[in-house]
Amino acid sequence: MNGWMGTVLRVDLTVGRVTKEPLDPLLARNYVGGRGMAVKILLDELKMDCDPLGPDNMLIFINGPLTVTGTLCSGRYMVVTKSPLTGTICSSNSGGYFPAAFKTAGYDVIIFTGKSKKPVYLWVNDDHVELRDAGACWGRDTRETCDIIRRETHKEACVSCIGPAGENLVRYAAIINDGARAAARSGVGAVMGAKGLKAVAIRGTGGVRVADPETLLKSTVIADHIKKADLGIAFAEFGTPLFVDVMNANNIMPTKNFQEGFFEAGDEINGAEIIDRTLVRSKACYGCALNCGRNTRLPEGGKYQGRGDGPEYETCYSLGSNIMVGDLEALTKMNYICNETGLDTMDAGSTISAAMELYEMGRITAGEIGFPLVWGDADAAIQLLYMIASGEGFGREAGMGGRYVAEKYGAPDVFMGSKGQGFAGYHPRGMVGQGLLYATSPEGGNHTTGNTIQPEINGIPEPMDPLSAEGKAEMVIRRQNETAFIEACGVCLFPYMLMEEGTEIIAEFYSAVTGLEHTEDDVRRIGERIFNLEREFNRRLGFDRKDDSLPKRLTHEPHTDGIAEGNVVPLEEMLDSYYRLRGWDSNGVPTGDTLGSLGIF
Amino acid sequence: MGKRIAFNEALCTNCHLCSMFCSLVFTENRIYQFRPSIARIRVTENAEDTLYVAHVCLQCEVPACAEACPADAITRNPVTGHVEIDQEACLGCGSCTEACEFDGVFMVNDKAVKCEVCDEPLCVRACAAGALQLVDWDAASVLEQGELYREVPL
Repeated sequence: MNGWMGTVLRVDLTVGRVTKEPLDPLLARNYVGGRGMAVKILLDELKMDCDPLGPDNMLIFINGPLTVTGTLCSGRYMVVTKSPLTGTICSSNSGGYFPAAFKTAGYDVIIFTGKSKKPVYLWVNDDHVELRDAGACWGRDTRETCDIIRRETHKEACVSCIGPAGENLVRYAAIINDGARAAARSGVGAVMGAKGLKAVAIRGTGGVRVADPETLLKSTVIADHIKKADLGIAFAEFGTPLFVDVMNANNIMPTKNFQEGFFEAGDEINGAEIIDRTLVRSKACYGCALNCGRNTRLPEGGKYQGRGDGPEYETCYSLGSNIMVGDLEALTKMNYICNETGLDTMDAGSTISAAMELYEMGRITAGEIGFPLVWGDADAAIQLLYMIASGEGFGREAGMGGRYVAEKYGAPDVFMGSKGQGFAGYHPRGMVGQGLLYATSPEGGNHTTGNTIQPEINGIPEPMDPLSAEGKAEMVIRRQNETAFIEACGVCLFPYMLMEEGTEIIAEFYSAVTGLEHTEDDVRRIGERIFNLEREFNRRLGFDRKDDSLPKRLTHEPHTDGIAEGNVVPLEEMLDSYYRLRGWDSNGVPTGDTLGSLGIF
Repeated sequence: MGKRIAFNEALCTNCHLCSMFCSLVFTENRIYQFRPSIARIRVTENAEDTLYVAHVCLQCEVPACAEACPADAITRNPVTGHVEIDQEACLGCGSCTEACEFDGVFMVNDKAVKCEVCDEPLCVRACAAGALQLVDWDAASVLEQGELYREVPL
């Protein structure tokens, strides 16, 4: 096969058995890879009502046909499972170097089932696959784990692992690869921890066959073009924290648990400040020409110490503006702690911001937490992060997620998320399409199942009013479908979502790699099929319109800043047209005709 | 002396696009593959993650690899000036990779391979960061690049 490696690896952790089977070519053609192929596998095989943290859940590592093919930013993989945070399908995406090792070792998919009696890790050295005892690294942080496993296996091994947070079943524990890249969201790390699987280490020396290398050479031309465009230059120079300035300028930087949309100390935690104070150099994931990664180090002699990557924009929001921390070094330290202990910075921040609001309301006391938790107190937040990762005291409750904490302390409305997952850093009151996107995302408040910055804020491909419901359902559906296809391909969203002609380009790349001619419309249709299948997965678990919700703060409390002042998200109005255009009934359930026309059943 | 691939560490982003595209050149039997493990240019970083280094043959004036080869399979091409390995003559003993203190010779399928400088190198074209360039050979820049290779071995 061109693009796909043609082999599925199955690992039964209960009996410790590893088997290989050929990849079904029809499955590959219809669902591509990434979240597409994985959700199909889960719908066919998963015991739907299983406990996400029980042995019946399945954990899928999966790349895509475009991974390691010279196409733009082709170094990504995904982790797909039933989420312990939301109870829905979830697919968490990561870059770094591990995805390339995974694919060149010769596999498209690794499916983990069951539960190991003692901690193990999977060691894959091309054809050789074995489960090994993880006694030496259980309890260790992600960087130490990476080092230990490399010493035990091969210096070229790439390691994807959980830290203490995953072992302690924190509902938003991440899986960290290469020491700092995260398949962060939805608690995929807790599923790994519950299975007794500490890490996956892979060394790959194989190749990825492609049908039409001439066309793929165009990738280098497009990369040059992007590098010379304004956004490409800004991206390489400032990384994703450049969005701090964009969001603040547009008054959509979520601040103080989404109470506000402008963070006064934004200038102290933005891309320029990182360059001045912590940046060692910028850094790319495997096969990426954009190099948005930040290799950073806290200055010697400062209050906080350490080195690592980031923070990314989402962390500047979640552990910065949203909890009112405007100290870059404290924020960077929190980011390192999350990477080392294996926590999602977004839900960690979302939970802490909810807890800070509860504390301010007097619903939770310093006695219950162990210390006061006031807005902007970075040291209290740091202490809480360690408690969450280790499951100590109030950290055990906070590790259940923001929704749990908000409900437990009697103010469910202070949780800023959807379906139990905290939002990413885009305030929907100032870009209402993003609100619709969050509400209808199959995995809750997630920014990687589509993002509306380009259409709503940057006016690409054409300007639209960010505050109006008009045209939003159609736009959100298009973004969600395109994103589903891109993520199924095993590449990074950034270049394809930011370029106006991104969908055309990925269709051309997909055709060149696989030799299967696909137009823009073809790939959108595959994206639509994937998105509907994810919807169907959730429907079988009882999710419908009632769960496509947003907190009252977004739908009833008026915005405080900028042109959006006074605005709220007209969710129900957008949902009606969204369901109609999706071909779902008024309760948000895909009709038989819609599923049939997409070739789902 | 001919041309060589010059590497500017300050611009490298550790993306490995050079080795990905290099490997495409060495495809066999018209089966096109991205297979970085056979590339003639390989990227690594130091333990502190502060230096990113693409190892590629310096086309040395007095190549240690050639001197070490028991089969005399490594010679300078009199026309281009590039140091080349005769794949037929190569015994696959690995003496050259041991001898090269710059980690510029690699073993692939039990044969020694190295950069023999393409006319239009894909590694240079693929390097979006502009860290690679096709340049005329000169002793001073080779010395500098060689020191970096000794500091950060593969």
